[in-house]
Amino acid sequence: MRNAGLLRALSLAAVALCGLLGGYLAYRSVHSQASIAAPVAAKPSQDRNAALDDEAAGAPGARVVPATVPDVELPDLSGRVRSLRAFLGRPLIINFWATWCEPCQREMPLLARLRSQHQEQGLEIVGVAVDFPNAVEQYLRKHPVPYPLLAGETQGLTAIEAFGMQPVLPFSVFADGRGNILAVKLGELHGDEAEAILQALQQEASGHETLESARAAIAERLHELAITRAKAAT
Amino acid sequence: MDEAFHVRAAPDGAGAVRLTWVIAPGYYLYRSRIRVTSANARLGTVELPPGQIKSDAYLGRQRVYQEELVARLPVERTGHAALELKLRIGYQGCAEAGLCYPPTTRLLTVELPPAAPASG
Repeated sequence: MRNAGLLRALSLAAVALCGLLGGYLAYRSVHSQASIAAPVAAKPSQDRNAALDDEAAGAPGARVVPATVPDVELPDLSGRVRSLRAFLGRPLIINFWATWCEPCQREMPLLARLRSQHQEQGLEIVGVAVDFPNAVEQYLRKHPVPYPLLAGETQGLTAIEAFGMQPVLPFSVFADGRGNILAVKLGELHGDEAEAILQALQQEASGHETLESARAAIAERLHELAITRAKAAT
Repeated sequence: MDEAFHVRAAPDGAGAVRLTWVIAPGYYLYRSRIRVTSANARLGTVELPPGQIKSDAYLGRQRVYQEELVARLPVERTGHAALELKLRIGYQGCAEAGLCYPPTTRLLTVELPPAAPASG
């Protein structure tokens, strides 16, 4: 399999992180264009989680999370091809999901609520279904969503690659209006996490924080929330 | 994926296969998403243990497996010679941490021993 080494490393990372954090997983924040996203659970040089990611980064064919939203095109449910970058100009959450993924389904009401609550900031959410369009349509008949959806199994996988991620779902990409990626949350998104990221995103958009300091603030806050959630689960 | 859900197959006598999944801590497999087919033999129904009920306020109840799953797969033998049984094993699972691996298919081959001829 292509990128088998990387897949193995990331699978190991996922397994290891679950063990290390008591069933809690993997947050990623983007630190620079040249680096793979590091988990925010600790500083890279001090943490086994990061070492696993470093292993992934050094593997042949290793992927990196880009600093900005890549130029990716996918069809919407009417078959019209849309560019993800066409949604920029406002804060954006790009949510990767699939109909076979239950945590993905669980977080969709949250995404709808976030879009409604952050309407004034112009927040938009785009769902990218890594799935067959007919399965998505069938799902939406029972569970309609108010935000735009793009779908395609092959195109979805290509989009995942373009974001430097693996086909493990869900994950949510948070970008500012200029397309700068501030954070990628791997795994089910929780309300407190989303609010923390959106707050930092707003600070960055209004010029109160630099891009780097906003990314660092998100990483730190997600780390705190992860620890709190892990403790609550034990 | 293999680190989270490792599946292997071994003969269970001449007329069945034992399928074993080793499931990493914090992960679970869905009972309803296990499928086994073969291109060169007729298979019986996979004998799956009941598993545990996983309840979710939003998604309802599902049967899942954690840690290990052992299942018996009957094979309908049409001859007595040893059989190189080719299996396509599909499954899907998630992590308690709130993420899922896509549906996966593994191709495994099992050497079934010669079947004893029917007496009488």
